Amino acid sequence: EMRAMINAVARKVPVERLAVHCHDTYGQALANIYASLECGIRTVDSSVAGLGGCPYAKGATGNVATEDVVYMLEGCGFDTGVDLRALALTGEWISAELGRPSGSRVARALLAKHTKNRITAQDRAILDMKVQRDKLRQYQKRVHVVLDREDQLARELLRRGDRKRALLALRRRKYQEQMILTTDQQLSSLEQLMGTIEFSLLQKDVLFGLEQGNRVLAQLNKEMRIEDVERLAEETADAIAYQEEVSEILRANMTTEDEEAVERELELLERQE
Amino acid sequence: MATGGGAGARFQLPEIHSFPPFFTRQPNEDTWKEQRRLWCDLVVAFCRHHRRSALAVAEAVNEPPFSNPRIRRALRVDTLREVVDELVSQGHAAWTGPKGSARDTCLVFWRKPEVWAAMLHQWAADRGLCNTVLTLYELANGDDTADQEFHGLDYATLRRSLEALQSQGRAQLFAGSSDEDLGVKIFT
Repeated sequence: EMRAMINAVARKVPVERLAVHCHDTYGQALANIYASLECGIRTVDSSVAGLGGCPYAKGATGNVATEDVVYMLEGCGFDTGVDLRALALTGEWISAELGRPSGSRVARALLAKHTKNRITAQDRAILDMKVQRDKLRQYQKRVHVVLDREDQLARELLRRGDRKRALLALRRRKYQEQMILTTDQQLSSLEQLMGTIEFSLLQKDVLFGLEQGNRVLAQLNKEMRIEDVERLAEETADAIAYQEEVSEILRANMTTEDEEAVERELELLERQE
Repeated sequence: MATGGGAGARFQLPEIHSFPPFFTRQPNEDTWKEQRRLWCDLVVAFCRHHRRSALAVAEAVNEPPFSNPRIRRALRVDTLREVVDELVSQGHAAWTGPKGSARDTCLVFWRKPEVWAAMLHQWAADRGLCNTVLTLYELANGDDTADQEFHGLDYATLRRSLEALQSQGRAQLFAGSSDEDLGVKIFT
């Protein structure tokens, strides 16, 4: 029937301008495609992992899977130019994303030999946490430069007699030290928990913890610019606005103990100068 | 040894590097094959010495070793491409950049990814870190790998090496919530 139809159409339209789009409702798609090839058809519609179908035709299950078509075409000697393995992996990925098995038997066959996925959701969460730790380590290495500069700045400001700004520099420094310390501790506890307790019980908490961590890292990223340290000492209107902004953040985020510790540091510096 | 030669020792260029015709693609095929072989060896040795992997063809021809200002000669871009093509066929390099694009950038494997793969696997086995989640960052830059030869390896080569391990079925690369930060599980 396929041949008859194509031959009929080919009488009016050159066959190289024709394409076939076969559904696989009765499992005959590949046979029909093969018959079309014999009639000269060289363009075939298909869908990765057999996704999609016809919402209008009741009972029509789905499109024919590209992996199956490519496998057949390659087997017949056609050069499709498609990397079947990459295609199968893509089909596997989208099927996993959609939460449904692939509609392609070729893909299932090829990938059964592929390493079974040995990565769990817990592994991914652990990876996220480790990535945060890595970023934190990197910040820790860079922060010394910023902290030293803030210390120097505080001393210079004191020599100028600008106690207010010296205090600001020290407070900012304390804040950064605290942020890194707290985040490090949080990550350590997360790591311990993940090692000892059933992950499924913890999942929500872990995800929450990681979200927190991410927010802190974004904040830390903003804090790492050494140019901003310089702005703490400037007198321009722009810099003053920045200093106000920093003051606000510090006010909201530092504990009374931290504030007291900073005051003591300032006194110490004053006595040294 | 973790220390690359780059810091102290200067790279020894072979004598032929001072020979002007070395920089001109020879018309005789047999001569060219020999010339190309010498260039291939030179590229790999140079990259090994400096522990460099990434090469951008258009820029590289303006610098040593592909240009020798003393004799005022430099390799042409298309000749360098031929050299890299040969390295690719030997498994000592790979063109990077989007598929089908002009051959502009490549990675030189002064040590084959499979060799790195074996070292990584050995390290993981020795430290009892098999079947644990490891980030690429900690493999390349972590304190635990400071004494390893692969410490400081560039990401692209590290990734290829782990992919080689993966296709041997001895590891699996994966991403967490961000695609840029990859992790790997190395199996026993």
